[in-house]
Amino acid sequence: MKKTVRLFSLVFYLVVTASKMEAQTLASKNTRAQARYNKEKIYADAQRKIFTITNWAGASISELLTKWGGFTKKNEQPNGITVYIFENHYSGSGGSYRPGYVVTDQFGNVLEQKAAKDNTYSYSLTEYYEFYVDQSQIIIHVKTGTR
Amino acid sequence: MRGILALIMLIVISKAASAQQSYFTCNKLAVYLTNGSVTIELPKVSKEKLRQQIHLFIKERNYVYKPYYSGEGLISFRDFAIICNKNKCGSDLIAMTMFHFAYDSGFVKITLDNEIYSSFYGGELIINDNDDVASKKDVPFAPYEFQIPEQYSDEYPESIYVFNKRGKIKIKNPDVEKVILDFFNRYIVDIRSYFEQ
Repeated sequence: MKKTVRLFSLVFYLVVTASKMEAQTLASKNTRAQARYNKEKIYADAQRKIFTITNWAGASISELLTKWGGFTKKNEQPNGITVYIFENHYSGSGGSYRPGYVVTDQFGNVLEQKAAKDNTYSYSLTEYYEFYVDQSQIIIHVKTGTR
Repeated sequence: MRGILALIMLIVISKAASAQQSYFTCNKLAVYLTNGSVTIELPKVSKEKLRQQIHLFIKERNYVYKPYYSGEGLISFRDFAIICNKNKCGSDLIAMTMFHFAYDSGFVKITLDNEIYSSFYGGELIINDNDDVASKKDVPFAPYEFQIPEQYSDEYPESIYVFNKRGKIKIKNPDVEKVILDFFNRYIVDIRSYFEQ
């Protein structure tokens, strides 16, 4: 009787373990497949944003200026290419500063102390769009990014 | 004895000849011209004649001339073409190849850059005049992964190499490697035959 119970327990254990492992494998397989999908979806969306801007390549600069308005600056290169640059500046700051303190007794022994905590931050960046225009006033290249 | 020696010589020569046919190397990160460039010697052909021939070649092949990268003695153009489809390679593989032809009287020196994209989910890829790539309806796609972790082997059937946690790399897809190399080699073979004819 004991033998039968042991055998049954062993078979039960093996079946449960096997199905658990199968479930885990399936779950992680699904997770990996989902991970690839998510990663490539993010890439596709990011590419679309760039694509929409750089799609101006091939159009005339007057068309762009009509839609975008005035540019920030213009450079003329020795090879006859003119670069129209549009810039947006972003800056700001935030966070908080909590000063530290030290509590001592009348003999100068430190009873309690806490270091200052500085979570302040500031940022300053420039988003730029550069349109390279040839002598026939056609945009032949677009660069975009931040600096 | 002489016959055997002749046979061995023949095998060695044919092996060397077939090895020379591969202009490209494919490693774990990229596919590139093995020697960095290929030069075609064209004695007696003037610089102006070469300029005209290159522009004619671009037009005949439906490649896209890139004035931004071109200059005096340099003509750049690009192609955007399917390397192979999902049935054959596990994913649709598409290459954007930017050719740079530096030329002067008597020669053309070819260099190139490329980016391979993998469209695993069947999205159709499009390219604009700025050479940026997107997919129709923003279906997920990404630059091709030449190597991936071993545990992702099934999720990236198109990758050539897998590596394990110890960093040991092994080839899992020699067929895809061959397809990619053949694809790029065909460009050089075509260019050579066009300009050397």
